[in-house]
Amino acid sequence: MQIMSSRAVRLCIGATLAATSIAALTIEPASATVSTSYCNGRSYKAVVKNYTRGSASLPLRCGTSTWGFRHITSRWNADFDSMIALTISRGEAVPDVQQDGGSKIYALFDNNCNELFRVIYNGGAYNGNDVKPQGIITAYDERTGTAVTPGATQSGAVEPSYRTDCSVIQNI
Amino acid sequence: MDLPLTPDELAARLHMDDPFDAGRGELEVESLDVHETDFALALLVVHVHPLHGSHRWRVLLPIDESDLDSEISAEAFTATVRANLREWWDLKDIDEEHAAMGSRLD
Repeated sequence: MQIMSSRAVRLCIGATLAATSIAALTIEPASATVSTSYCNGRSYKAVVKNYTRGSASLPLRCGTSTWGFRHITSRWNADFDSMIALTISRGEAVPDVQQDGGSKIYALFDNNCNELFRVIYNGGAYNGNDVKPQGIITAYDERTGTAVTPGATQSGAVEPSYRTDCSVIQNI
Repeated sequence: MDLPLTPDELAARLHMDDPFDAGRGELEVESLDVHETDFALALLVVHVHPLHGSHRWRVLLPIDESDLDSEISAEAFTATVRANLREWWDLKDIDEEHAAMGSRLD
């Protein structure tokens, strides 16, 4: 088994699991995530942090009570932050074509293709071209609705197994 | 309270199914009214389930005063409301706050 390490994420993919697109992942509890008070006094435009998917950078802005960081502040903690990062970087992505404004849904699944976590993102402009993209609208745990993350250990580490080959409907 | 598009236009753009599980059925918004006193959108939603038939829900989606800025695009406003409605649909059975936003009418 080959183990890759980084500051926050250790990804362990066994040869057998890799062949079936199933991965076991350990995310070390983040010691320093963004404070829930980060957006106090800041504009909705302010970028709280950027998540990555390949070479793309997806911002989480302060937003308002209906989108962005202010919308998800009550769920926010280091594990929730890590699940957003994992879902965006490794999850399934489906464009929301009916809305036709650049929205995408990112979803992470367990080994049985049960959805674990979802992130809804708008790549289109929010306010003319001044705020583009709008960024993450919302994120939530599909099993709990809260920041209690499946696979979380008592120490706070997240150890979800996930897969990336679950079927999706491409036209929503 | 002026929305960036008419309530009928917005309602028409809120039809949705689940991209990852067709078995969860579809949501269609029959009507949408602005509740100025509550600062919310009142939606009459029909959930069409492949096995359990159709059920009507009344859903109250809060909106933020700053989301009504005249500079904000209709597309972004729609995307936000769609995401909020999808979130309610996904979490209404597991989260009290979301459960309280909707009531089944039949």
